[in-house]
Amino acid sequence: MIRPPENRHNRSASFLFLAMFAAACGGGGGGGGAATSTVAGEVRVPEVAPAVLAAEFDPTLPMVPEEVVVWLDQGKDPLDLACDGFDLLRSGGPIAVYRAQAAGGRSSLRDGAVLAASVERATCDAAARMRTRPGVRHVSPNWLLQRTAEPNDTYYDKQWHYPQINLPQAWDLTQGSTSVIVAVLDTGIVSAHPDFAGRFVNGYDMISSATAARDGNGRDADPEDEGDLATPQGSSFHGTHVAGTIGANGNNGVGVAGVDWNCKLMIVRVLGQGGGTIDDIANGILFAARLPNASGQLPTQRADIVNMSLGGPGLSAVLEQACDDAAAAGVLLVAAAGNDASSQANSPAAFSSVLSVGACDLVRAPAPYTNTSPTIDLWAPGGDMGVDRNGDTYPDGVLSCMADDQGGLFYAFENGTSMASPHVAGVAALVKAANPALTAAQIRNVLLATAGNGNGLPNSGGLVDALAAVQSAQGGGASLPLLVATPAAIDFGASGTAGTVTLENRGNGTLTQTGFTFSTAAPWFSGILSDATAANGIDLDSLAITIDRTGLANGVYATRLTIEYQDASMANYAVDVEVRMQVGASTTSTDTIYVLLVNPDTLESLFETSTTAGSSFAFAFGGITTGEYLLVAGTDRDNDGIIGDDGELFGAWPSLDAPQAITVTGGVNSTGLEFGMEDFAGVAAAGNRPRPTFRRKS
Amino acid sequence: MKVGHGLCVGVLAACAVTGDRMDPIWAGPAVSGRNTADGGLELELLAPTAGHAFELVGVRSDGGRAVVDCVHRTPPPGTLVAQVLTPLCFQIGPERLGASREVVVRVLPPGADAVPHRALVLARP
Repeated sequence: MIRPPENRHNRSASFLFLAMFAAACGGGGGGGGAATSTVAGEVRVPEVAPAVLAAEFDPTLPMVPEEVVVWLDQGKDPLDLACDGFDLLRSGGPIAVYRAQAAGGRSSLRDGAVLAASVERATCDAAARMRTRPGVRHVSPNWLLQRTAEPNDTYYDKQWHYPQINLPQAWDLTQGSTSVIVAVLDTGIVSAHPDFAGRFVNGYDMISSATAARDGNGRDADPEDEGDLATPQGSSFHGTHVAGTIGANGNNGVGVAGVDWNCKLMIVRVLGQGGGTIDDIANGILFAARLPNASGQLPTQRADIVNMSLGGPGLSAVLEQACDDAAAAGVLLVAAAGNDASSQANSPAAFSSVLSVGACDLVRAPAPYTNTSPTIDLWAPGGDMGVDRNGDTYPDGVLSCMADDQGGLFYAFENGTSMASPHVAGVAALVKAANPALTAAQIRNVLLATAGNGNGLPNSGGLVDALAAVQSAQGGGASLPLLVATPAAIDFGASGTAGTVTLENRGNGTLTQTGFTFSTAAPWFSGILSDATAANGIDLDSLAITIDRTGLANGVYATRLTIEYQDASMANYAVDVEVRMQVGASTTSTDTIYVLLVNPDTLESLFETSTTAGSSFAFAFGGITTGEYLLVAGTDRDNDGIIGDDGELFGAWPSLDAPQAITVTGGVNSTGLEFGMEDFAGVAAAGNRPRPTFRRKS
Repeated sequence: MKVGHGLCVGVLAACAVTGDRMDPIWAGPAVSGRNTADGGLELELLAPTAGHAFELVGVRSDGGRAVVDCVHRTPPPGTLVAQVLTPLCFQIGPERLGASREVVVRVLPPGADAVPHRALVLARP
């Protein structure tokens, strides 16, 4: 249910407040008597800051600090947005550029940057806030786009497999995002390898056999690769090689570059001495997807993409169920098609919920070992160590990170569909970085639709094309529909109860909607889908969201909402929206809090003071004359002289629900007055309850 | 920098001269061999994935010819393995080859009733 919007000067609301107050204090007012007193106490601020969009821009990318670029809806006056700390810098056509307003020689963003850790971070946050404003179609920081030099990694010139899939050009558009998590289900990782510094999120060792794990125990939280003794010469450290292809640090002057230079790597160890079991691998998939699993542990955040450079003949129903459940949870699964030079289907690559990857050699032809099953979806470089076609004196393998049982850390060529799969997983991570709103299903669609021609590839998918995929994800390349939800993330804070998500097709292809649904497991969430078309033909489909905190314990609640479109071509398109809210109280606010002593009869402000986080929101009035006063506090974020507006914090002593008068007697101090404020700055004010507003004294 | 396999292969195609001529021809993963500087032999099986094993079973030498028997084991059913080509190799000392002028390498494939398959024949210097 959506409540009607509240008028900020709602008379009935004021009357309600007055009636409550009158019942509590029996009338009266301040201003009598000659002796004065002190009134003091502390104001509690709400725990949750005003609702803002979750971070969606990468502050590590080059940008013009403090500038935000906005694509306005048709007819929108750029000056309408020149507020909230922004000045209109320039505009033309639908594009307007805003800069943080200067105040006393310091821009508001630079002040905010103290809290946000950097000007760039503050600029990204500001862009996210700007996106919520009516009339804003697209918004972003003013990125600096420039041709990226080829990475300076020592052995990059030996990584022939990246130009083959147009990766350097894709790096001009994105080098990945720290918000994207790629799980690597493999032999674990040699985490000390210098090309992985700063790249890991918590993973897991899912190998249940202490013998196979070679670490003296069963499942544990340490996915370090203890070695698999794969050959008499030593262990394979296969997972380290695969992880290096996905995400070795790029342009760091060391070793090799990965496909994605920024994504986070979640290492899930499932292959030990002799390989891996269905049990361990299925549980590893569930762990990566943040689904219940045998370890009893869950990662803080699920992976966006899972790479499995592993497989075996036959189709395991248990493994397929794990893959299906992970895919349903929003994970894109990628697996190696197998090295048997046959058309046999391998698990898990052959499952419909998994993207199966075959291996190409240096001339884009199928590698001699690769499987050619019809279930193969894509091809990627896997190398062929038996030849040196480029004459660089090295075999034409895929070069990545390696280690040995003696603790050596180095780089090595390998070949196999194991090497092809991480190329696709890495490109998928770049696609997700280029457009975080894309679902796993959409990323899959983008990869398949943008794949290019190889050299004699079987009719089962093309060669992955990083540039075309990233361009498509950004709305530029192939003629594909691209379902986008705006905003892609909503934080309802502590008090927001209603909001709207707008759905539109930002791709180049046609999306003829024949039906749409949404799903989420959160019981506190409800929504109503609306199908509408504007007069100008622009689709205005939307989802009205309502949050109900009834009966919920204090804490932060989050869910991922999936909205699915059924297209007339029978294809399904889905988009995810992250929804977050909080029940209960309170962090620190950077606001100035105005505290007023008010005549309870007239609501006139008689005394005013202010407090901030720097004084722990403690306040004190001196020289207060005998009388009865209403004690209220709030912010004046729009600086209109009124506290308690929509978008502001507001409270009354001892509570907003049952305010009481303070009786001040000459010479007797009233101290220890504590009361809380509520955040009336939710996503929409529609759910806010009635309250009066007060004019500041000064 | 670790660079993978790349052993020189000196293979005399199926030209064994004794009763081993009747052995079936090995059709599994490629087996290659080379004579080492000390007069021994290094054999390699290029496994298509991890999880394979390639081990020496025994060496018989009868004058001018040596027969090297090896076993190839595949990953147990139901085991999933890394899909990386994996060279598996071992060495045979010169003392086990005696004065033989040629070496027949036979591989016992997986399976309880499997018979040795002739993989290659090498001439010794």
